[in-house]
Parts: sequence; structure tokens; C-alpha cells
Amino acid sequence: MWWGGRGQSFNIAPQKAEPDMGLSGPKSVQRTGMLESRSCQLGSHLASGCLPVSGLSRVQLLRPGSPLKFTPEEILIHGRDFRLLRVAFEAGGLEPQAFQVTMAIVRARAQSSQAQQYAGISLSKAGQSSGPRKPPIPLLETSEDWETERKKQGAGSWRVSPVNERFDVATSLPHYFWVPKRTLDSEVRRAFGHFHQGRGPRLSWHHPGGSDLLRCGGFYTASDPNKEDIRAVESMLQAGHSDVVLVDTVDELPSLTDVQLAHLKLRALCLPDSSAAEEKWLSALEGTRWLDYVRSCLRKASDISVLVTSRVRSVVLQERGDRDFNGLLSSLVQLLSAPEARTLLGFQSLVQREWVAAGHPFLTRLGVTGASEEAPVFLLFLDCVWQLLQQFPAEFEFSEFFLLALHDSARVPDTLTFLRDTPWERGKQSGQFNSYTQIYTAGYSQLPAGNSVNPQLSVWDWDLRYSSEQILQFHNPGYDPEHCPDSWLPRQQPNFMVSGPPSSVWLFSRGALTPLNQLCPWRDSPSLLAVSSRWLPRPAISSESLADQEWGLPSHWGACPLPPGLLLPGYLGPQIRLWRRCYLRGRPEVQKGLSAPTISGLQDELSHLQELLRKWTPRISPEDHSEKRDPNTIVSQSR
Amino acid sequence: MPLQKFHYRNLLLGEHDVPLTCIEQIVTVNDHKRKQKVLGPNQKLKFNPTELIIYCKDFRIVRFRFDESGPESAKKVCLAIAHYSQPTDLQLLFAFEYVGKKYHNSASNINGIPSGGGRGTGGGSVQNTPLFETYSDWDREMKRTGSSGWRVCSINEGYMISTCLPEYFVVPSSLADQDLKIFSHSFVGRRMPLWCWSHSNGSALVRMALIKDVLQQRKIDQRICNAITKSHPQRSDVYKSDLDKTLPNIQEIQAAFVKLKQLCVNEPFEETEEKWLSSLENTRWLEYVRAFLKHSAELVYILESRHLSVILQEEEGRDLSCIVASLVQVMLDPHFRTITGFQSLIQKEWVMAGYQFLDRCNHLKRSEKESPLFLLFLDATWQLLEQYPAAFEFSETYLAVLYDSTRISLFGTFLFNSPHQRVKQSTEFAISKNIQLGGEKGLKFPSVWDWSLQFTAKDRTLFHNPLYIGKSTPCIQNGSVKSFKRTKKSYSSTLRGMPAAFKNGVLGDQDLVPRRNSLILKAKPEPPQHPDGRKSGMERYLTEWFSKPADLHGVILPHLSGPRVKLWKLCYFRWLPEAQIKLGGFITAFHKLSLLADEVDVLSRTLRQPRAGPLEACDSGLDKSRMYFRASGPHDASGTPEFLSSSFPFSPVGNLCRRSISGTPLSKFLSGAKIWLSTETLVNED
Repeated sequence: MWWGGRGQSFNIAPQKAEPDMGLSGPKSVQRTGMLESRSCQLGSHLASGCLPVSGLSRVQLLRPGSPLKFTPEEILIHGRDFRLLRVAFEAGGLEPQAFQVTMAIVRARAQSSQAQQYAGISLSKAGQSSGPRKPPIPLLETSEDWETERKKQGAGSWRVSPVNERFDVATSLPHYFWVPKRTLDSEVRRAFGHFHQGRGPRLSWHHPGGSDLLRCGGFYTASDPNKEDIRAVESMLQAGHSDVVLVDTVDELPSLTDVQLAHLKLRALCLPDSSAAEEKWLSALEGTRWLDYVRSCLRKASDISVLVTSRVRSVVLQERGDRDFNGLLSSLVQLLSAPEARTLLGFQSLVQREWVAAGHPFLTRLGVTGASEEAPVFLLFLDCVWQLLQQFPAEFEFSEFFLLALHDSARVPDTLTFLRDTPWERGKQSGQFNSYTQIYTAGYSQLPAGNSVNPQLSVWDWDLRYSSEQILQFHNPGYDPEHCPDSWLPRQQPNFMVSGPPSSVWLFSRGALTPLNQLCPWRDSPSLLAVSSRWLPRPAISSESLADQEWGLPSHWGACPLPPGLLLPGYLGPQIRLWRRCYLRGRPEVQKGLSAPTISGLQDELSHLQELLRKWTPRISPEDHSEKRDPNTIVSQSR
Repeated sequence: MPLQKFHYRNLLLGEHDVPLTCIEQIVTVNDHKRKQKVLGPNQKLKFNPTELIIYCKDFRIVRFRFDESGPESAKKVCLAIAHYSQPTDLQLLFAFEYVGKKYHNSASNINGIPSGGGRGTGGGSVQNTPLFETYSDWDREMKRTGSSGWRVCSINEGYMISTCLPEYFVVPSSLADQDLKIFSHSFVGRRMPLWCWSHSNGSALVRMALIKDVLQQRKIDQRICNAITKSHPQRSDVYKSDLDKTLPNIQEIQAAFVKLKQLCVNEPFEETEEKWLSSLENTRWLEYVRAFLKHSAELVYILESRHLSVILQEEEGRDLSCIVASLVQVMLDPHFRTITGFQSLIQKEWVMAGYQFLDRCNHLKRSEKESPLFLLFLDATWQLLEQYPAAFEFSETYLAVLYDSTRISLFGTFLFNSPHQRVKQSTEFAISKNIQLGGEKGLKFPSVWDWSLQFTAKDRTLFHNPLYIGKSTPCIQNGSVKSFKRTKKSYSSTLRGMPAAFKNGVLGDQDLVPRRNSLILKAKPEPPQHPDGRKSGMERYLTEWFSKPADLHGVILPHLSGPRVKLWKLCYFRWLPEAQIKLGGFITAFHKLSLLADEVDVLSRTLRQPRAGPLEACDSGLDKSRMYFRASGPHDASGTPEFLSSSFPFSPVGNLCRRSISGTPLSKFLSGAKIWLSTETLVNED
């Protein structure tokens, strides 16, 4: 049996372990193509369809439970992650077992889709045996982690609130989060009750210029808050600023259904046997609308990052559920505004904080449970990040390959990071659920004993699945390590906390700011202008004068330098591109040449020469020469 | 301002200067009367303009306000520009005036722009670029490619046979001058077969016009083909490619380009962004670029794999054949992927072969024959550069600058319809101006290849591609060229993803052709496609070629799938502030690459000179650096320079004289305002 794909860019190359799927084919394929190789999990969350082919003329689509009607010569496995695997039995001499192997895969897939939502399989024996290990990044499960992060951001007027330690405020929220220093836990509890699913306003990120970026769920309008409740809500939204901008997160962004549909269309288009003709490729791509959605996200994030950067204010991202696009926007804004978030560790912490800890329902959205609310918002986010990487190739410490690895990890069930919908579920000992697993899988080959996922392990433990060579590829050689993340910080503005109601409240929607009369929608809430109806905008100020008053900045970036550290992405038609290396990996003709000699080739040459030079001339200080660009040292010095 | 400090300066042009030949349309506006008029030559202007808008052929738009000048002078300025930008005669172009002055002043040796033109006069790369004006250039080229069975023919000396052929060209040895003279009458424009290039296997690339003489057609055709067959060492057959039938014609190409321009310049991106991709597709520009690349790749297969000589046949043999002949050579011969080689290719297949630059570029703005074939070629080359970044010595900046240079009417290179026209026109001009030509054939115009006329040495380093790994110039041994043989040893299975051994079964690589079974299984798959069955040799050749890592010093073939043919953004968007990405774009990677490449260069030089101390070696190396961005030594700590943007080294600042219009505050703030006036609407309002 041999393994291979039409896309020769991907390879089945289990690094440290083999998939424990009851499959036991020889997997001695050489690890090839350092860049793309990654471990592969067959039949689990990856597979979306399995097509045995016989005699090259009979094809059957196998779904769980459907009987195989012939002995296949070849099976095609369509991956959800845009991969397509072809397994031919004849060449490997496995013909006799072809039937069994195929059925095993189909059964494994069926079993996995039911069971693995409760228990991941650990790929890593190494990980289990090595006892407790320190997570590579803070997993934000302790209040210390939150406190460290808060200090790092310099959010002086915020504190870590333990109010949700027992998940009694909201199961989808983490144990800890940041609230204004002056707000008591009782007020937090009081305020959060008036938000959808108890997800009240929390700090996402403190801009060093003084602004705060908050996120919260929708107002729970059916509730009947008393005056004190409203005051608590308002003061939490206001966060001590006199200027508050409420951002209607979903406005101008696609709905979850849109995202899912676009992703499906994109996947169909990118299949190797997609029927789109060369000259119709562009319009077919446009027809998926995926790039359109990427564009809307980038545009909105870019607008919000200007809102955060241009003045000291409180910017509140409000989405009804607060678990999807709030995370996406908040992460993108931080990537655009904070160089720290563009480092490898910074980015991982960002994802851990804004997605994992914030309770993005990974399991549901990635379709692992088979629930109807599938929508790859996280993958949309990764695409946006890739666009930024394309546009600013020297500003990110991580590379496209890191994003690819993360993209693929979203479905690999060896850690709990992406396998739970809420921090509460993740927090539960996975051991408890083994019994469930066995009920579901009774009668079928048992998962090996002790199969529980080590809860200490996370996706960020890359060495479980990737070789050190591959991890080296996560680093963007074009990134300048001298680019010190601290140097960009503007002078810390004095933290003046305003008492009393905010002096101006705006709603950001449709790319424009509209003045609001009050922060909260409830009847009793004090309005700024004594107008009681909610969301009633003042007579529109002309956008021109608003622009002058609001920004006080030149109308063209061309004339003035950007605020330090801020990236403004292009989001016009021609600037949004297709992530070919990710979506077209099933198509060898597209992948060829993508890994042509690049910057890393030069770097290798450079370090080689430096090595030679060092041998030749001991006089020249060798440390200076080698330290900077030797990839090995880059890795070791990254914090 | 750092922006100004690093402005990429053309020595001939100031920041807001536009060569008269680059002007596409002149529009005058009167704000108060709300009037607009497109100014043609000899037209009257009935109102005093308050604003002048110049639409340039390079997608730039320059606006001038007359707020502070008198009404009459504004009118005069507009009319003067309109007048001079549309000269009635070729000899009124700036180049003639300049050259005339230069000849007059040559005795007194007034300092000025050094004279370019002929070989050896100017500095820079012009010295190395063969212009193919002489017998010896052709002879050298034949030797370089190792062709035998061909000879340089000088029957057209003094343009006695054809006015659109060069004086010297290469023909099959078996055809005598006398025969050629007779045959020539049967060809359109008397353009008989011209040799372009020979493959190391002996196959030749030949271009020729149609045989208009219907009676003689078969006979002459037979004679020519026989002669070309005889010139082939293996006496291989001849493959004829009728370009008129297989490729888009020049009108279609022009129409596509006009649409592309409309899309890039006139339509606000904000409105088209959702439809951007389909609008781009509808221009058909990329489709045409792909068509030329595809056809050229097919001819590469014929030449290289089937060992056949190829004749490019086209009615006049001086339009589409220029593109195809050049692309085939760029793909096959790494020499043409160096700067000097590329320039010699343009001399050989465009300038000397009689591509009608004057009409196709429409320098006099009266031509119905305008068509951007040269740009199409540069675009197709850019696609190859984009796909094989390490195979080319030059950068995309070089290609863009080269394109711009076609619109500067100082250089003789891109000014004429044929070499003969240059001689004829300039001789007439010389006589009328009392210039003694001596023994020269016509006036010597500056050559575009003398880049020192336009750019400083430092700026010229931007032409260099940091990824290119140079190879010593092709060595000629016993007449056969070693340089572009595919090296087998560089083949490595690590890039292939699967061992070659698996090819023996049912599933060869060839089987990777699209098969119709998508996720939704709706039909049985097509019958098996056996490699030897319906698949043509061409497809097999391509599949096999693409399954191996490309030898960058050998043949390169274009990827043609939908996602791989892209829009050349630097060229088409560099003047649009909206499309700019500050501190971003490919250039920031290019910057890093340059630093690395420079450091590599410095270090390898240092290592090659073990005698000298390393630091001295570094110093001496600085002058030799081929990179614009240099590693400032081992302690280099520069981040991304602030002036970098996706349109570097071009700066769209010049376009910012547009007034802002109302928009949402954020989009205005972020991307600048947009007030492109569509030329079409203007015409209608006239």
C-alpha cells in the first residue's frame, strides 16, 4: 500500500507516532519535502468523504454505514482541510486487504465523528510519558497568567476578576477575565446578568496609547435592570474613558451561514478535479465570496484599529454571542496595532486568549460534532492573518507554514485546545469521559487504554507533531529580530479616569460613526441628551465635518507617517488574494514552484559563508556575525 | 520627508514631469461654468480653464490648478501642451530636436547628456548589448547558440530588398542570395524567413511573413522548408505555427488593454471591489497573456522535445511573432534571462525585426494601429519572473522602467517602425538642418540601453534581482553551448513528494489529470486515460517537466492554471495611492532579500580574497554591490525603512493633487479620496 496524493505538496508523514485508528498499513514513507510534511490523521475529523474506486470505472461514495459493493483498487479521501489523499492498493501489494482497509477507514470515520468530540486521541506517546511539562505559552487557566498578561499590556486601571472561577457567571467564559479596577465583583455579577449568555464587557486589549478594546455580548433586552444595574453596565462599558465607541460587530460582516457556504464553495472550487476552466477561474473564485468575506473582516478590523489608535477611548466590540466575530476582530485589531502580537509567542497567546479562553465554540464551528452551526470562523481568521502576512512580509515573526500548521491543527484531535466549545468543558478532566467513549464504540476495536488526552498538552506543544526542522520553518526569515517590540510604544498617556457619564458615545456602523444618545438600551438608563428612544441618532453631521472633528488628521496617509506600530492593510479588490498554499494543496500544478529558492536559501548560504569566514579569520568577532541570522539562534532566543 | 529623500528619480524627468509622448488625453475643466473639454490638436478652447487634467499612458493622472495664474495664460498653457503633445510629423518629436542640437554642438563639446546611440559611446550596459545592426552581432549570436547550417546574409544592405527588415539577418546556408532575392517578392513586405535562435539540439526558430503570391505559394513554401530542414543537423522536419489563427489579434489585445486601464484607473475600487475578479477576467487581458505563454510553451516542446525547427508565420511577421519569438527564447535560453541578454533579445526580435513602435505606441497620436504588444510581452515575462524568481537577473522594477522608457521620446530605440525608418527620417532631417552625417547611416539617437542617461548608478541597482544566482557567461566549446543543458543531478526526489518508482503501475503521474468526481458524486468517472492513449506528447512533456524541480539555468515553462497567471500590480497600480500598501508589499521582502544577498556577496568576496584583511575586502566590495539595499556591515540593524510601500520605487504622491470628496470618514481617512473622472464621461459631456 502506498500513500500519496495528487497534491504532491502534502505528504503523509507521521512524525512521532502513527494514527491509532486501527489502521495498520506500512507507513514507512520517507519524510519528504520538509516544508509541507505534517502528520496526518486519517478518517478522523479530517475526512469529509471517501471514494473507493475499482477498475478505474466503478466509484462509490462511502458514508458511514453504507456497504462497500466491490473490492476497491484505490480509495480517494477528501479532506476537510483541502487535502485529497489517494490510496492505491495494487502498488503496495495490499490488494487482498483492500476491502478491509477501506471499511476500517469508513468505520473509523463514523466512530470518530461520534466519539471524538468527547475524547481526543493522543498522538503523542512522548507527551504522555514525559510527565508534567510547562506549557509553551501561558494557557490562561490561572489568575497568575492573567495578571502577568495584564501587567505586560500596562493595563493599570484594570484588574483580574475571579468572579467566574466556578463558571457560575457564564460557562462559556474563562475562570478569570479583566474588569475595570473600580468595579466590584458584585457589580460585575450584577452587570453580566444583563448580557446575552452572561457575557458582559471585558477588556481584550489595552493599547499603550491609552485606549481600551473591550468585547461583550449583546444586551439582554428582556431583562429589567434597575438603576444600579444600569450604572454598573455603563461604567464597565465606559471603563473610565470619556469617549465610548460601541462597535456593531456583525454589521457588514458575513453571517455564520455565509461563511460556511463560502467555505464549502471554496473547497469545491479548489478540488483538483474542479471543473472551473482556466479563463473562468477568477469569476468562479469571486463566486465563492470567500475573499469578499476576508475583505470585510480586514476592512472592519482596519477601521477599528484606527479608532483605537487615534484617540484615547473605550472601544467596545459587541456581538450577540460574543464568541465568533468579536474574537476575530479583536485579534485582527491587535495584530494590526501591536507588534508584540506579530511575534510567534505573541500570536499564540493572542489565539489562546481571544479564541480558546474566550470560548469560541471550536467543536461546533469546525463541524466536528456534525451540528448544524458549522462555520469555520477561525479559518477565516487565519486567512485574514495570511493576507496581512502577504502584505507585510517583514512584520511578522511567524511564517505561512506556521499558519498552515495551525490551520491543520484545528482538526487534529490530539489536544483539547480546539476540541471543546467552552473553557468549562475543556476544564473538565478528560478522563471522566472515557466511559462515554466506550459506550459509543462498543463492539468495535477499542481505543487503546489510557487514551485520554493529557490536559496539560495544548496545540502549542508543536514538538508533539512537528519535527524541530519543521518548527524552524515556522519562523519568518524576513522578520527582523532587531525590530524590538518595545521600541514602538508611544509615551504612556496619563491614566485619567473620568467619573460620571461619558461625554460622548458613538456607534460605529457601516464604516461611519453615529452619535448615540445613551449607552444601554433599557428604558431607565440615563440618556445623554434626555432623548429616551434608543439608538436614535442625532441629525447626521455631514461626514466631512465629522471627519475633521473626529480625526483631526490629514486626509491622506500618503502625507503623514503611520502611528508607530500600526499596519493598515489594503483591502481593495486587487489586494485580497487566495491563500494558494493552503487551499490549492490538492493541485500539484499550482503548488509547483511555490517553494522556489527563497529568503531561507539565502540565509543558509549566508550562515554557511559566515561559518567559513569564521574559520578563516578568527580576528573578526564571530558572535556578531552569526548570531543575528542563524535560524537556530533565532529560535533559541525567541522568548 | 523620507518620501522625497528616497524618491526614485529619473534623471531626465522631474517628479511631476510627463514626457509629451506619454500623454494620452488632455482635459480642461472650468469649475465655475461646469465645463469640460478634451483637447485635441488645433482645437479652440472657448472657456478659460481653471484646471488641467492630463491622463497619461502609464495610468498616471496629473492635475494642475490655475488658481494663481491669469486666465489667458492658463488657456495658452493648455493649448500649447495639446499642440506639442500631438505633433504632425515624426521629425517634430523631441528626439530629433535633441539630436540635432547635439550634432551642432558636438564640435564645441558642450557638456550635457552623454551621447548614447551606437556601440561603445554611452556608458553602462549599452556597451554589452548587441544592437544587431552589424554583421558581426549576428555572427556572434549564431556562434553563441552553436547553430550550424545558417549564415548571415547581407543582401538587404542599404535596405535594397526590404524597408522593414534589418540590413543583416540570418538565413539557411542552402539558400543563395540570388534565390532569396527572387523569393522575397512573394512575401508580404518582402519579409523572407529570418532566423531567430537555435537550440543546442540543432532545431531552429524562424519567423516569416505570409507568401502572398498564391501561385508560387506551395513551391516557395516547399523550398523554404527544405532549406530549413537541410540546416538541421538531424534533417528534422519543420513545424509551422500560424500565429494569426491561434492567437488573439492586435485589435483584441488593444481592446483588452483599454478595458484593463478602465478598470485600474477610472473605476473607483470601492465600487468594484466585490466584482473585481470578474471584472478583471472580463478584460481578457490575463487570458491573452496566458494564451501567448501557452503557445510559446508549446513551441518550446516542439523545439526541445521533438527536435523540430519551428517557423512562426504571421501575415506581416512583425507583431505577434515578436512576442512569441521572444517568449520562446526567454523560456529556453537562460542567456535571455540576464539583463544584457534580455536587451539583446529586444533588439533582435523587436527593434531590428521591424516591430512598429511608432504606430503601436502611437507616439504621434494619430495611429489607428495602437496596440500594447510590447507591454504584453513584458507582462508575460513578468509572469515567468513571478513564477521563477531566481531564474532572472533583472527585477520587476527593471521591467516597469523598461516599459516607461518606450514613452520617453528621447531614445531612438522605441521611436520608429523599422531601422530603415530611422535612417530615412534622420537623413532627411539632417539634410534639412544642415547636419553633416559623414559616413554614418542616419543620426545616432541615444539608446535606451544606456541606462545611465536615466538613472544614477545607485538607482540602477534596483534592476538587479537579489535572488538570481548568476552563472558565468555561457561557454562556447566547439560551437556547442553548454550553458542550458538540463542537469540531471539536481533532480531530487525530495521535492517530488513520491518516489518515481510508483509510476510503473496504473497510476503514473500522468494520471493526475482532472477527473470528474467531486465531493458530490454525480457521475461515473471518465474512462481511464492511459498515458499513451489520448494524451498528446505535448501534455506528457509538460507533465513530466513539471514533475521535476526546475533547473533555473535550463528551460523554464510557465504555469498556466487560473491561480497562477496574475495581474502585474507594480506596473498597473504604482500610481494609484489607493492601491498602495504603506510599509508593505513585496518590496519589504525584497528589501530583506537584498540585505541578505548583499551580505552573501560581500562575504563570498571576502572569502575569495584571503590575503586581504576581511574588513578591507568589505570596503572594496561596497562599490561592486549589485543590490540597492545594502547590508551596512555585520551590525546592520535596520528595520523596514519608512519609505517602502507596495509601489516602491515609484511614488504615487504625484497623484495626490486630487481633491478629496465626501465619503465615510474612515474610508477617507484610510485610503485617500478618489475623484477619477472617467474619460468616457468627459467625452460625452464635451
